[in-house]
Amino acid sequence: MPDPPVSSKRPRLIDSPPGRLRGGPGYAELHCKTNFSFLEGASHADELALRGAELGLAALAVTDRNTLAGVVRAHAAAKQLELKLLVGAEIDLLDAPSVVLWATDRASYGRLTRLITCGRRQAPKGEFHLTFDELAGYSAGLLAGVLPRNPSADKKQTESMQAPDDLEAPLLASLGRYRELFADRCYILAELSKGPDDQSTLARLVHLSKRSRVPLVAAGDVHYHARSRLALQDVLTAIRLGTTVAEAGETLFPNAERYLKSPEEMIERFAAAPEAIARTLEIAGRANFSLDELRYEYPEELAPAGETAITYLTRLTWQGARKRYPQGIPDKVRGLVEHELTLIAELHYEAYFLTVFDLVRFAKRRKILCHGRGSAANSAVCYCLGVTAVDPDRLDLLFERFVSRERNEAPDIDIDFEHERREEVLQYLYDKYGRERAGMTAEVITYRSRSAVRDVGKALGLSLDRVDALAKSLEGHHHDNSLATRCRETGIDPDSFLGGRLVGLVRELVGFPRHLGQHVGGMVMTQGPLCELVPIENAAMQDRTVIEWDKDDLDELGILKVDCLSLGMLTAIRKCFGLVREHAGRDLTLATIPEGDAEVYDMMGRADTMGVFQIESRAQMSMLPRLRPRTFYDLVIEVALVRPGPIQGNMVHPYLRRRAGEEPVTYPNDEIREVLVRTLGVPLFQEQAMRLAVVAAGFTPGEADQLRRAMGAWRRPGVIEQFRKKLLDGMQAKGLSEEFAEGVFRQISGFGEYGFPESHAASFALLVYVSAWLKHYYPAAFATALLNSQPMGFYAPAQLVRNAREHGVVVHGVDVNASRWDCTLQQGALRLGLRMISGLSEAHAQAIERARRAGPFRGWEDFVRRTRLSRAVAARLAGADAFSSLGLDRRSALWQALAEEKQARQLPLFEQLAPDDEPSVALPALGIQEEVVADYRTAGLSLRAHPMQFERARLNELGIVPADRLPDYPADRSIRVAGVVLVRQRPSTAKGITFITLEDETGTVNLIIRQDVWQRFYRVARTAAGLIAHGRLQRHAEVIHVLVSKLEDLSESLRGLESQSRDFH
Amino acid sequence: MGLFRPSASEKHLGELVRLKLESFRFSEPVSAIRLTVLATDRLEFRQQQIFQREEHGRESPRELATLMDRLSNRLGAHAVVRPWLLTNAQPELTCHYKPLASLATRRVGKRGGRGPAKSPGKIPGDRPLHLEPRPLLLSVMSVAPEGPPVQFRLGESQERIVRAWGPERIETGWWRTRIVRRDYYQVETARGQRFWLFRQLNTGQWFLHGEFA
Repeated sequence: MPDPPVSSKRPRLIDSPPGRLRGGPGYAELHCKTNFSFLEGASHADELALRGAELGLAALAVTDRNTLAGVVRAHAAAKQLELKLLVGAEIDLLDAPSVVLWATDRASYGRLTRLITCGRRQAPKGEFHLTFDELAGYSAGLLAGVLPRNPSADKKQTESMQAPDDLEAPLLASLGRYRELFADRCYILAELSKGPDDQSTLARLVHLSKRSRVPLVAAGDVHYHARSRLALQDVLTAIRLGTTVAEAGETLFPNAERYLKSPEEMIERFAAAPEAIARTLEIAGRANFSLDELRYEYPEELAPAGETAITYLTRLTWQGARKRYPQGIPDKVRGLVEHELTLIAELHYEAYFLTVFDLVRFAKRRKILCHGRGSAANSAVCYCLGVTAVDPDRLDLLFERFVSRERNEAPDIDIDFEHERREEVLQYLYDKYGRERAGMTAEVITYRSRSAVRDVGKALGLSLDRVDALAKSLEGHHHDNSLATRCRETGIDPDSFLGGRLVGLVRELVGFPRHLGQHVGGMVMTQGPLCELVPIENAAMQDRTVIEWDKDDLDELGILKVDCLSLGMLTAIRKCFGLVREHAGRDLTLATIPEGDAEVYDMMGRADTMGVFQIESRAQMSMLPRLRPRTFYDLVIEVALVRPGPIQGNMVHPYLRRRAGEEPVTYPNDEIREVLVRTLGVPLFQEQAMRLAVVAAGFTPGEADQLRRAMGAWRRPGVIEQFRKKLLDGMQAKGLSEEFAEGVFRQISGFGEYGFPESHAASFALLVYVSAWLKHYYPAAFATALLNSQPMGFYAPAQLVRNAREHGVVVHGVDVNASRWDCTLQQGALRLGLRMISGLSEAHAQAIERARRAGPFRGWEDFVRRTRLSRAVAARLAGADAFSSLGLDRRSALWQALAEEKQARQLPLFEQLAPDDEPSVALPALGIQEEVVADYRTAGLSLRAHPMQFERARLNELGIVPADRLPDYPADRSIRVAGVVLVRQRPSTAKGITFITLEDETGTVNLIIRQDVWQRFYRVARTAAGLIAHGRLQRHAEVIHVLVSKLEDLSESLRGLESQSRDFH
Repeated sequence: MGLFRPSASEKHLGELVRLKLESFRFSEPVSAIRLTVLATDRLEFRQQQIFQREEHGRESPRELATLMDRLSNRLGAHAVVRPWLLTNAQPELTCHYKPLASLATRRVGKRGGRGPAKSPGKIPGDRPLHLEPRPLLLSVMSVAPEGPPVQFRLGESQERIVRAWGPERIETGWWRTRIVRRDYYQVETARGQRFWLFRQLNTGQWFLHGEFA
């Protein structure tokens, strides 16, 4: 078994305090909860570790309630501070007092995780059910500290009452059972928290210990690192119990004594029982398990018998290489493959690559389109294995830039699968490795300002509508510094007593874990049982199980995970390939699309990209004419450029200026030049930002990686400040200006949170190119595939259909005699499928297709008799005007559907009879405007006309300019436009700007709405199906925007038109 | 109008209305009266004994209820009250007084339980039954700056403390006003009295909060 990479000792970045003085007092805290004891613990793990180190504790145990979800963070922090960390948990039992368990070695740790898994799996999500007998099965090697509370009595009572001996009988009995089970590994935890009479309590506990012959050990019942968290802890308690702090009464702790105390203070409190203090050191000495001992073991069955993993991988790679390059493997690729295989063997990554290969092979066998991305995915090896289609011969992406010897991080490969079929892949993994050995990574759901405001506000007893208004005003997901301003706007005075409390508490609570969710696709597979590595819980989704650690925890411990993600575009591309094969006889794959097609790049340069992967958003579309991509690498940049990272780091405009030659490309020194030369001196990718920290500030690669993590997931302000100082000092030492240094720090901050790595951008860029190529050469097939893969992308079917028609695609409406469930290509034209009709199911479509095999429907009765569809379904079809090939317009068909109700069509005896002689009724046909409105209502689009065109005369009177006339107007001209709302986009990054796209019968208009205008016309802007916008015309290259100053609701004139917009927030 | 116990006696209710009306001045002539029942509860019936014993000193419950109702409606609901215990870490807030006439307050239409509700709190064994309405500021001597008290002055007399238990720390109420932070001690004086003292942690001042019976 190859040894996986061992993370090197992390450098100490936080200066640890002088530590325990020689000969000073010794105390180890054995009972401490972090905020992973949800709504109980009121401090982050690193706050506790830092305080523990400051106080000079001999050791600190992290013992969250029934979970190990917080131990990895604590482990990482303690390791950096050189504080000994004990791994344990407080376990609640159904039939015995709760007990704190500490692991002594790897084996006992595995039993602890099994035990928690057991308690979690047999309870509903979030709960824990375990009996004493079940605990007994996993007790070997674990140390136990029993909490001396009477099994049934309420906690407060036993704590405060100096109970007569007979009242302690049940407790004594329980202690007896514990002692029998754990023998000399059993202790009683004595905790003094300045209750009514601590000294008597201690005396009673000493007595209890003597009677039960179980030794007493001191502990602090720690819930937070400092007294100042009292208020937050009270609030958490109130939230947990669904009440307010004022009404929570005795469920609150009566004082702030659950903080992490110094050895001196503990010794003073336990002066009457010094042996209880001494025993904390005894336990700390016995509990020697460290998470560093976890050695991740890759599944073994990846290589066939008789072959080692590396020889198997080597063989597969060369086999694949010969297939990829039938004319002979280019020297460059041969060299790359050899080099990479050496590196993989050296770092023992072969099992990881085989795991990924196995998944891809499965997907290929099932004809599920997939594509890899991530640091290791853009290797020549992955190209040969078929994991990615980015040809290393075409690109200059060095594997070593992504996987390095020094960094010691696990290689990262995410695989995107077709969104409709990813579940098959997940089930394959569960089948192959079993639930024992495969599990889904957790996603820690944390408090955001919005949720924090809601919960704190309720706990403080503020009026619910005010709290609600405030929470709603905190749009977006990111920490909002303007909380005080928002408070004022919604009528909560932040300077008032409760307002001030609210603001302070919300600030503390943001970032606290709230519960464990399920990661979008991260799967962990192991050789041994997974539940001996980490506890497994039930997920909210049926048949899913989730481990208690998230991706950063796994990353910290070097545990392998494979992200199986779902991507709608892959579904569309696979469907499009199928249509092209069927109708054009051309076999395409991701890797065989002709590269470097100038026409395709021209199309992208015109921002004619609706439906194209990634670059179809408004923000991307406005960038395209400025960037004018000509090469594959331009696409890599385009994908990464319009992202929160570069935008927040102010990197977009410098890059564009340099590209346009408006600004000289300079580099402070040659080392930096090497890092930034591909992006004209502006860091655009996450890798570049990390690399900059190394070459410009003297970080080690390991430190740079830590920096990334500090900025991202475990974002802790104190730690970030330390890094900032180190970064600035380092750059100063290298003679770089402070301005440059601050700039780099700002960029790294932006990247930490939303960094987009070059390795991912490269894989995405390929899908951009492939989808653009398909759109250009096979517009009908491409539109058909997109419609058949809905919901996906930014645009609704109406816009996709319209766009296809603008590109010369002939589109036919839904018809019972021609449509299938999916949209289809019929003699080169796009025939809309029955799936376009809202409220129709695939089963209905199948019934129609089945009945049609006997020949086309000849009339209404024929249709009803052969399909046996219900009246409601027939009415839907009629409403969607799907009977026009039977000579029935919408209104006549609906009339028939209504008449249908009266007929006894379920009587088989009458089936052969001629249909009723219902006198045919001559109905006036619907007006065109009514038809269009009905089209929109039933299918969300109309092939007849655009609803706006009926309003044109009136709109002209109002001075409204049609979309296709906008190019005639000069920039800065004030203007009025109107249309149906297509898309509202509110990127969290664009400083509160909202993009709205309107559509009229002549084309689309792009609106830009600033925060203040949005606020002023909030209701209209957010809900109206159609808008009239007043504003100023703006021009960037070929893209025209209207900067809006006023909005009006157009809905009245478009009555009956339901909102078709897709809103992205 | 509130009742201490549910009643269906026309006579009793009529009396109460009359009592109420005595203290009520109408500004205009009354032409109609509307009666609305806001709260209902189950009536309690007890079988009459033929030879009813006179229980000395104890009124029959029904008569007591009649009295309560008359007093409450005459003097105002807040004049006839009972103590109501709450769970609260801050000792002076563990008790408040509730009008007796509001005890039968099931909402109309809801099926009631039995009798008046019990208060959620309980008397803690380690607290004095009698608390000063306002804690009395004391001058106290203690040996260590944060240690237990050894002597205090109460009125004219110097009290020497022979035993002290504690401190019991109370930190709470941060959502009401400034946080309340106190260290409570039970003390026994040389004369054998037991008092409940606390030191206010923010100021270091001592207060007498109660006396154990």
